[in-house]
Amino acid sequence: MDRIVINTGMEGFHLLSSVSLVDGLQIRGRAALADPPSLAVMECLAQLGALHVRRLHDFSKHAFLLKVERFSLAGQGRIQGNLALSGTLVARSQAAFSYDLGAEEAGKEVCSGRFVFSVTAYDDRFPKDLLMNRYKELFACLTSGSGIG
Amino acid sequence: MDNFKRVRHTLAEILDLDEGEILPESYLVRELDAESIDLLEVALALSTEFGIEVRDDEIFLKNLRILIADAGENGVDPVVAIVENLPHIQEKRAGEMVADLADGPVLQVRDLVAYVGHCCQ
Repeated sequence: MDRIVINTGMEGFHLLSSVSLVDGLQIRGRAALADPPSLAVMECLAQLGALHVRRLHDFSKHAFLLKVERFSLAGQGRIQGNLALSGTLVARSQAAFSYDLGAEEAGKEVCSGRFVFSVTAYDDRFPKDLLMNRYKELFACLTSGSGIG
Repeated sequence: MDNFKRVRHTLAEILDLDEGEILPESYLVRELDAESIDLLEVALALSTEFGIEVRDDEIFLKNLRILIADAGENGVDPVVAIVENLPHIQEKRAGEMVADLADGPVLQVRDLVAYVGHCCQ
């Protein structure tokens, strides 16, 4: 099978710069995007939602984006700047989680959508030793300074 | 609207089928071509529709074959094992499942209806 190389056009994969609130239903965070590829904000929202799903499971499962049910942009320009991101868990089963996620810039909504995530057990493709610690550390870094324990 | 009609409506939307194609005895995987990714969506949609937290393992009988194998190893009647571990499944239906295993996944629409009915009691 041919190897598929994906180039995001960005310097790093993680786009979130902080997480300021997490509880059983909500998560809020920020992302600072400078000259990003179009729709990078969608990836920001996906990362925020997936992080909430991982936290709900205490990082004991791998989380992934299953589906973007809807997504809308408030304007036509490329979204960049210091974005306030938020997500609310609106429905869940044992293995699937539906979120309303959105981003604001300077108090104005720039995009919103409904994203569905799922979880799976760690395995050979998603090694527990690597991913569990990685996302725990990432979460600790993103929440440091926010007062979240 | 009764539970079957609500489940049927949900399945029709997710599987892109006409509601008339979905009967209580329709097999989700064998006949309606539901894939694992569809089932995740079904679980979520039923959670929302009925206001319950769906346990995917139970509603989709994910551990049915393990359950039956374990029962066999321990000398337990597989029908009894099913009824004890999956309380939404009646004894008669459990017997049908055991007899039907060789032909593929046994999950039928009526099993989903039974699950949501059990959760809503």
